[in-house]
Amino acid sequence: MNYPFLGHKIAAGVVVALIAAACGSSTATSDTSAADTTPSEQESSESSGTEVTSELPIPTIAVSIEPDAKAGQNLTVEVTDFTISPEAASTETVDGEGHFHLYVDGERTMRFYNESLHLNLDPGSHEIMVELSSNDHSAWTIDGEPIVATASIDVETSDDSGHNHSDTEGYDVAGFESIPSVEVMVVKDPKSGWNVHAPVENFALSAENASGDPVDGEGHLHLMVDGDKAARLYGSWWHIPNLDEGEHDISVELRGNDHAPLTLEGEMISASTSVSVSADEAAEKGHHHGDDEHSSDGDESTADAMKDGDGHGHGESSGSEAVEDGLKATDAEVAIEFTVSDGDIEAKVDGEVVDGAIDLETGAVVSIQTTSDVADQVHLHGHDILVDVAPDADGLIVFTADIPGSLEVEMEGSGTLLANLRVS
Amino acid sequence: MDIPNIIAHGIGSRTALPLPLWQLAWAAIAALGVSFLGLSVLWKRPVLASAADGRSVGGGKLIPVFSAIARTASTVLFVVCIMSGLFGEDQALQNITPVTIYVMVWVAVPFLSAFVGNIWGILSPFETIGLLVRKVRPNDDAEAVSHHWFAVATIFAFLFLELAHPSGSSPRVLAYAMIIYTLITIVGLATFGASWLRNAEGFAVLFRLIGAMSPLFRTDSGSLGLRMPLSGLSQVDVRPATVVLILLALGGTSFDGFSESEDFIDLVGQQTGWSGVSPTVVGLLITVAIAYGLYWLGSKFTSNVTGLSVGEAMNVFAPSLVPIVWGYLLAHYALLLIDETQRFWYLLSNPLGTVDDAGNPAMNIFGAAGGTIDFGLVDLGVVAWIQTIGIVIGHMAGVMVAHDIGISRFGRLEAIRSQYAMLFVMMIYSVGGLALLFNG
Repeated sequence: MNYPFLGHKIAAGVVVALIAAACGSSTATSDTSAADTTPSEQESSESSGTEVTSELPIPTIAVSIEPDAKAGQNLTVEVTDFTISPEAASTETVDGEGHFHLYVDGERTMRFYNESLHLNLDPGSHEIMVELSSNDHSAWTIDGEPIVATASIDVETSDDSGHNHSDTEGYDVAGFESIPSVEVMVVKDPKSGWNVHAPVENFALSAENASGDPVDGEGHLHLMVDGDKAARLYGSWWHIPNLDEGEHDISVELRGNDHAPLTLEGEMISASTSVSVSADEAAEKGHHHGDDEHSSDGDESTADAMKDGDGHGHGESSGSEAVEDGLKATDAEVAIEFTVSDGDIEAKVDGEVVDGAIDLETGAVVSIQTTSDVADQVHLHGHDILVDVAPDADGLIVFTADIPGSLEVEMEGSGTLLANLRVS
Repeated sequence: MDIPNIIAHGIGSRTALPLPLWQLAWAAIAALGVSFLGLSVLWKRPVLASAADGRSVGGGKLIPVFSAIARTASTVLFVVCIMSGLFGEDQALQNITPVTIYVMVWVAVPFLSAFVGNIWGILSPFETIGLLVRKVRPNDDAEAVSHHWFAVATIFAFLFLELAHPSGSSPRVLAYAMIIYTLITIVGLATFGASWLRNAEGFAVLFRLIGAMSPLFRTDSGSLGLRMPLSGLSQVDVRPATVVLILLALGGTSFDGFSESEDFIDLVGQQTGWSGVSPTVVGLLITVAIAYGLYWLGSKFTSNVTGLSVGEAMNVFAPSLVPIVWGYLLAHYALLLIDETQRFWYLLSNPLGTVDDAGNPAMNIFGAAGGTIDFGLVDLGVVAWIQTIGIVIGHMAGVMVAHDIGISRFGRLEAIRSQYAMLFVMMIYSVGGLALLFNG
């Protein structure tokens, strides 16, 4: 009886969400500091910025972004008159020094220390902005304007080719003139997260040849957290925004351009260290949606760091997607999110927790994002859409609700009912 | 290995939207008021028993031909389903086996039986097997199994598979179940002879009861007969456990409606895999127990008025429950029947559900492979009315049959008085059943 009313409520929610989205994107392009109001890290929040002292040469920045030949995108930053100082991050501001902040579509997503960065953006058009940040995370400004550079990219729908390159045979470096090596150190960032320093020897970090032909002594690094790949690194510094409480194994592996591991006498060349995270440190993380931020989606997952809390989650997954023909994740008018944890189901519609059946209006474009602590498949009945979920990979379904009736959304393997969708 | 289980409760794409309350109210009012008052005033003499003999409309030559074709087709389908279940795609919605068992056999056959008679007698692969077994081991003792408890066990096992088994919609599991049931049937036939098919094969017993509602029937001379709808119910064979069988079918259908609802999940918590089995089985048993308990109470009242024992009263009026079972079936599965019959047709062309490298159906026997269900075939509003009418007609017919049985055995006033309580029971069934089916 009550579903027509709920339907209107949902429709109103969609309108509000669309307006909010529109406002969000316009402020991001015109006013950087406004974007800081929804930071992904606690550290940001400065609205004023730090003016570049006039005696010094004025830093400049330019960015470009290209699709990676294999997966994701490579972002290249060119700076002049600027020193990247990972060691000094989150400390006193020093003229001409600092690091970069990355904004994707107006949302600040991460801090980085390398002039080349590997990303894994969702399909669709994205506006990438890199900001020069001082050590204390305020933006460097000139006449009050932050020093930024932007680039845009159209990411095509990923074919999700299940890159399992770790299986490829390694390159034995025994015959090289000089044997490459790597070390790794992890230090707590004074403000938030951890800074990973992985200096390499006899090894050239190359972003431009990544996913290209192998060249002896050249490649990139894979950062592993607890055995899962967390990021591809083109530089020797990295910032991990948060980790759960407990002991974590952080390791760095040398990889060739084609992602095959470098080996010496059959052993992968890597370095590892462990980090002990206290409850306080684990709790300090700024992300709303907490836990598994670091643990990667098993592959190429800088996107993990790029998910940040707009509370909706649609279009931000690095996991599996099942999108009906002719639709994009960003088309969704109603965003449903399911979180399966310890057998409990939490359902949200446009960010609000709901109980019981979910009412939808016929014809609405709906996204269903499922986060699960067990691997399974999400099955949308009627439309018969299936999508994989795993603890480190959300499942996203985007569809048009054009089949009226009560449709089950179910975890296929376990038979767990996520919700009934009432389409009318 | 985890066997994918697409649908915990048998098979299906969607269920209908909850009916608005006013439709439910109309259904209950119509079922109760019209039936009771109308019957009391107008139905003064027993009608059904005398009408049950009907008249022959001929067709004595065509029926054997039609039967042979239908029997051959259904035997082929039976073999195809076992093969497809064993070797086809183990995906409930891509393989023909689940839709055949859960929709065609369990819903379409009884639905049609109410119009065209006991077609399961022709379609049942077990009847066909019975013909073969009896050739090897003739035994026509019709009373070797004289009760319906084996049939109850069959239907309970089927409901367990449909509603509780965590992989009940897996083609593999269903193929194994079909093989096991076939072996049981062969052993039963060899041991008990023809009476096994008549009284122990649960589907045969249940569908024959529903087929008795039909205006069409097969006369003793083998021709097609026509009689008053429902009149066949005056001749059904009520044995020990027949009432349990009917109420089990009724409870299974109602419980399927309830077990899908959020209310049930709220009640028992989110259960997965085998941990969901016990709540489902207990829920099913409770549903059946409630239906049985109400019927017992109604019969107790009847017994007080008529002097029959409670057990006798339950058996005497058991045929009046059959139309209710049919009404519930239609109410709950109308949309499933509309949607999944289409799937059945598409899958007939590619029964294994396998696809080639390009993702196209590997077979296309009848040219319909790869089709998709037209979910707009019947408007949901129409479906809602079909459901409502199913409940209304079912209960009206039930009250009518009970009234006719009453006046055929007792005086008119005594018959009416004997049914006061039963009417109340039927009212609870209908309103409670509607509430369960449509989750308010």
